[in-house]
Amino acid sequence: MEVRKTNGEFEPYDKEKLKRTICAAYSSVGDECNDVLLDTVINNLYLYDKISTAEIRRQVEEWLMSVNKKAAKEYIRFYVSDDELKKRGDFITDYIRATNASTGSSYDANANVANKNIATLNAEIPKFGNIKFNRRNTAARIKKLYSNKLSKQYIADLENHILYKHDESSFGVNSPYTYSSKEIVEVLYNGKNLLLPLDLLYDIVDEDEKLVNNEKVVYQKEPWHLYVKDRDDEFTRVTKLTRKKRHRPLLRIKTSFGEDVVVTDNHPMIQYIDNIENTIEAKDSLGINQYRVGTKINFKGCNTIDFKKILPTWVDVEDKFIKYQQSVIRREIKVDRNLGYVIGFFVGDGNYNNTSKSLGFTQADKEILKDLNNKIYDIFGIAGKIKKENEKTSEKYVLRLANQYVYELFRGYFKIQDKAWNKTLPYNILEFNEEFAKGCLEGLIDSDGSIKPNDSSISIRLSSRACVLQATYLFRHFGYSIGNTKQSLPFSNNESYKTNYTIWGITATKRVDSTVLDGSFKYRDNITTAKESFLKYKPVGYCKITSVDEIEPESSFYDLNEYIYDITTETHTFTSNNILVHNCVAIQSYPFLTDGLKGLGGLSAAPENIDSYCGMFVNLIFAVSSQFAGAVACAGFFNMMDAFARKEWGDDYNKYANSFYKIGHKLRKLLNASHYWTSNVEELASHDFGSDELNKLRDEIVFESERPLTEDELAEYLEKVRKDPKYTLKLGDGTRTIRGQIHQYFQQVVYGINQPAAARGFQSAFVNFGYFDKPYFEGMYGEFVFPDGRKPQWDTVSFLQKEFMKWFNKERTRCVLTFPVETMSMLYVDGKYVDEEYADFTAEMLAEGHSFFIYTSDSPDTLSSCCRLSNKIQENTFTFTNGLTGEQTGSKSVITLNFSRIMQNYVNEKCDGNRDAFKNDKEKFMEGFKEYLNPILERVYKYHTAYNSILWELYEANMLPVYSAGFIHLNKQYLTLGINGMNEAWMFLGGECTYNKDYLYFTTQITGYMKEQNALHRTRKEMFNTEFVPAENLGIKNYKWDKKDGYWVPEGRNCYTSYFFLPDDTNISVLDKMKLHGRENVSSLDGGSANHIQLDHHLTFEQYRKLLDFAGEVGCNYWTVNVKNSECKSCGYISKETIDKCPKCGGTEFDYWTRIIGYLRRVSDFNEGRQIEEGKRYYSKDIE
Amino acid sequence: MSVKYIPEDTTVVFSEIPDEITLAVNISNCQNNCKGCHSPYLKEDRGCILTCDVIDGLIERNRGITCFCFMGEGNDADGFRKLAEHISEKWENVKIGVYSGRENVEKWYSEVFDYVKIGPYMPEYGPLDNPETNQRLFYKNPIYSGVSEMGKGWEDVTYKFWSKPKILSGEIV
Repeated sequence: MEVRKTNGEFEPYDKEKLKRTICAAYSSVGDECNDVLLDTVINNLYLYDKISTAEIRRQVEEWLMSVNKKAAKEYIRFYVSDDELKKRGDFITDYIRATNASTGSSYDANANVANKNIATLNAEIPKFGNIKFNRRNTAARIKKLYSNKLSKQYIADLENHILYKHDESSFGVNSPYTYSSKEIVEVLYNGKNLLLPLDLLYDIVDEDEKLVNNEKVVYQKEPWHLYVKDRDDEFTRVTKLTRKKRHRPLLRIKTSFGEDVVVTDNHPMIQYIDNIENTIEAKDSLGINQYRVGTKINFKGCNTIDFKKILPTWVDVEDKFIKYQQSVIRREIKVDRNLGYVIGFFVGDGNYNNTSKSLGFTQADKEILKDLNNKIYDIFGIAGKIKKENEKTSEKYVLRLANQYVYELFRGYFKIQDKAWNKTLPYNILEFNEEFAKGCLEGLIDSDGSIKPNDSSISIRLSSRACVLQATYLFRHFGYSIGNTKQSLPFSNNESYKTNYTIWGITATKRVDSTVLDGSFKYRDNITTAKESFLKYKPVGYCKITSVDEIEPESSFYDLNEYIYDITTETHTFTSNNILVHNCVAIQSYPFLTDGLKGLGGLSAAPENIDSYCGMFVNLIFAVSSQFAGAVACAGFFNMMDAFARKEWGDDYNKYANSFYKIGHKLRKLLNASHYWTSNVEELASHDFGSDELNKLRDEIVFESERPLTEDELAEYLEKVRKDPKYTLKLGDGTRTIRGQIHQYFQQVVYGINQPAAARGFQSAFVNFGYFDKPYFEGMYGEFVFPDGRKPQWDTVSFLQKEFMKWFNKERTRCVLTFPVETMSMLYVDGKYVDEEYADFTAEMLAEGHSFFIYTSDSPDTLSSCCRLSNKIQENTFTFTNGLTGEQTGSKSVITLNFSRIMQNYVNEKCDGNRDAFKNDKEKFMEGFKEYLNPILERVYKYHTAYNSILWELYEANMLPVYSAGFIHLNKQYLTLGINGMNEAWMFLGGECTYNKDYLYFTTQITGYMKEQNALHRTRKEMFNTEFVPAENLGIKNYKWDKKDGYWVPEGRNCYTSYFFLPDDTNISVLDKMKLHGRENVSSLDGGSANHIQLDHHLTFEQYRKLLDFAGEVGCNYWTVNVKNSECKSCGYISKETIDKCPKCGGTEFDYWTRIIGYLRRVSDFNEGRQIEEGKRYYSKDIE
Repeated sequence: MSVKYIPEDTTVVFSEIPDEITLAVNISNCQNNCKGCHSPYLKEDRGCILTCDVIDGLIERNRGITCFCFMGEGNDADGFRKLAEHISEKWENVKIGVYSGRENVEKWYSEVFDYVKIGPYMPEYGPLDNPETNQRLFYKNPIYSGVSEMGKGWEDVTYKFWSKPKILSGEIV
């Protein structure tokens, strides 16, 4: 016998070596290991050829754990490195102790989670597995497309920190997992314990079915009280059941213990390597470890069935009888072994006659039928008739039982389906007793089973996979060991019997301690011996996948699986056929998306008014963001909202913003009493109603007050209204103006999207909103037509944009809201902003302390869709089905190059480690570097291509709903090459990161070369661009990794920068930052870069306006201004300025808010590394 | 004698001249003797000689500034005038400012400069952003038709230091 080592090689099994290791474990804890124990352990291992060493270790571990825990731990320690143990055990402790959620996260420190809690911890844990899954998945694809060598190189590049693949910790795009319709699960539904196939489960769940995707035919139900068995034999709550059209081949995965599961070929199976969960696609899963879950059946013990509770109508006849239709029957029947037998028999060899509502049982052996008929009589008090089925062609007999109520019992109550391939044992079998279950098996054996003479094995062959699986469940419970089940097309000597029905079979072997099933004739007559219980059935543990077979496409089983099923649970796993399996995580958030989408496409579930639009928008954001790791950009938010606003209030609603939209009770009273009418709040506020009572009422309304006003309050209020007519937004009695209502919607949307999203591990969705100036807007939406035929209207959209910006800026003085991240896009042509009014407005907003990104372009062909991403829009076409996430662009995958490390490797390998090599001959140096960079880039292009092919495969399998639905198109998205460590590479060469010629030469040589290569590698399916990535988290990681591995890193810092300048440089001027992020550098960065200007105080309107002009002039196309906002810790007062004394309460303790990189956050919520970095940032000050 | 400036102090600022992006150049050899001076080292003879070429270099390197401001006048009045005139002739789009500590300035100032700050720093009246300040900043505003101490068309813009930009902050109730 051979064992497989972790490196994949085989060696002979060495019992002595194993003994030595166990002894060593004992002696290292000071205990002695005796031979008896050693032999017991060694001889009780379940070994098979080519077993993995890991599996042997696991089994030994299990044994040792039961006899000597200390030694077991020591034994484990031999194999698991300290590092790994630490990782496993300490993560949770670390997370709990971490100062905040960002710091605690080891895999996604950019998580914008404000508070740690159990939910965020739960969300962290699977990221570990996801990274492995994603990495492995991509590596496998690289291997397939290119070579094994390149695939290994991919892992090496990632592990050597030359490259970084972004968002590995989440399934950047979702892959829903699906099961064949006949896989069985044990569930608890409305308090009942059921054992049934997925299709039946789906049917019996009461909740309404929703069509969540019309085109792909996906339905869902959201059950309320459904639980499914999960690991540890516990029930977990089911949140969704999904039924969808099958598009992929089905595979049957079998394990060494005889379990099997039928899934789609890309289903991620849970794999265990050294006790760590991992996932691997079903088609590649041969040989991996599976976790089996115990099948401890607890029969509920119900002994009788009351027909009064089953039948729709009945008439009491006597004490114990009732009349149903034409028959008189016993009111109560016993649920016992006999009833089980009849049912088992029926499932095996019975059929319904649906017209006469009768049951038929077919058998060649008339004696068996007679016995069956006796049993039927005992149970029901009635009997059927036996006759020869068809005297000419067959030797078979039929027992026909023409009783509707038995029919109702079988079909309605036990849910035994029509047609052999759909039949199952009673779905509620677990509700009854063990005897009943025994009877069911015995009936099955006598009808469709066979016994191998003088052997102790029973085999059952059925066309119903679900029934076979149920029987497996029960046989296990009764102590039988299950041989590998079989699937085959039926064989028959008789041509007329030949069908394409798939036959499923199991072999159950009797062990000495198995329950005797002697209610069966066949059993009684044949099984006399029993195999020794050499291997006690282990309810929990690992087993291996021993075969992966594709289900023959021509078989009937394929037809049965026109639809496939999935269960979504709270724990994301559940047990099916004894194997712990994954659920689908992402598809659950889909429903609203299609509604919203379809709506804009003009179908039924469309948002019909501004109310439903704003409500559904939040849902849409959550739905989309659950499927994307990155940001969701909604360039078209205002354009869409405007369309609904116009529908609601007319095309010129902007001119009537102060008009009443809703009249509250007090205003109504006032108007009725006075017969005075005004549509205008200002007029109302200053109108004299001529009576103290009415004037008082007026003041209460306009002051948002339920109480009479004091003189001072009133004076103050009137003063405010006089100064700023817009002051009155909301009125005290529910009266609202159009403006007030619009603000109400803003509030709904903004607070909605800032809610932590459960599907994202309690992070908020990353949302970006876009503002446009007039020419930009016309360029973007000039050709746009709404489904109802209307066209976008600039005046009102502009009004909405401005209202929103002002409202949002003000709202942020009440609560510092992180999302949306805003971008103002403006057109700058021939030395000036085309829309001066918007440039002025932008400067005005900045001067009022609003912080947002500014994007300038010389043609509206690019859209800043992410925090910084600028992707060229290929064609000026718009999909009318969306408009919400807008312009269908962005990155589908980012791989970032660590230039600091690459540069140092280059200098060491090619320039004899001479750091002055650039200074000596910069042209030669850069040429050499490009040559050095080339093979790295080549690899990145291949890695991207491999990943892209996975995406396309998912897309073609209809698994990327956001794409399929037209939100985004894969072809329009970029594969992005990220840059990090650029400044550090330059500093390594002795350069200064200021605006100087050498630095520009250095950076543009690299980015220009990458741009050129991107263009060369472009294909129909792959487009590449280069981005100076924000690297919130990566900047810190790269610094740490490089420092640890002995590379040069700049002193006094903890992070690689995300800008061309150094954020802690106190000498560089605001203007130089603009120039460094100006045309020369950013023109080659077709994926974008962002310039963050940190200031210690806000500037005046004129100064911002001049800065805007300068940005346009030097071509600094994406920038923002950050002045730290202050939030008083004692009274919560918020200032847009950086202050150290609270003007409200005099407090001196502040929380400051600034952009970690892209979005605004409380500094104390940054991860530790970023907090340190933030402390070093230089906020430009003036001289004292 | 020559005009000297402190290169390491030279920086782009926003507060010194309202509404402008200003390159502030500290001039040494200050002849004033203000009590409580913030930068007494500027009274010393230190820094580098400021020439027309140096100024051109500074303005080129800091492209984007809208104002070049001498923080002080030094002790070489003629040299200082030459430099100021050089800027006004050569750099059309760059305004010229001066922070003078004196109460009165020569007449040519009103022809060459766009911004002139006059008056010594006096601790009891505080700096420019204190509404009690004795110092004044004048701006030769092309659209201003009034008359001030500096002459016709010179607007006293000291008030701009007091009325801070309209920054939204939480309401203090």
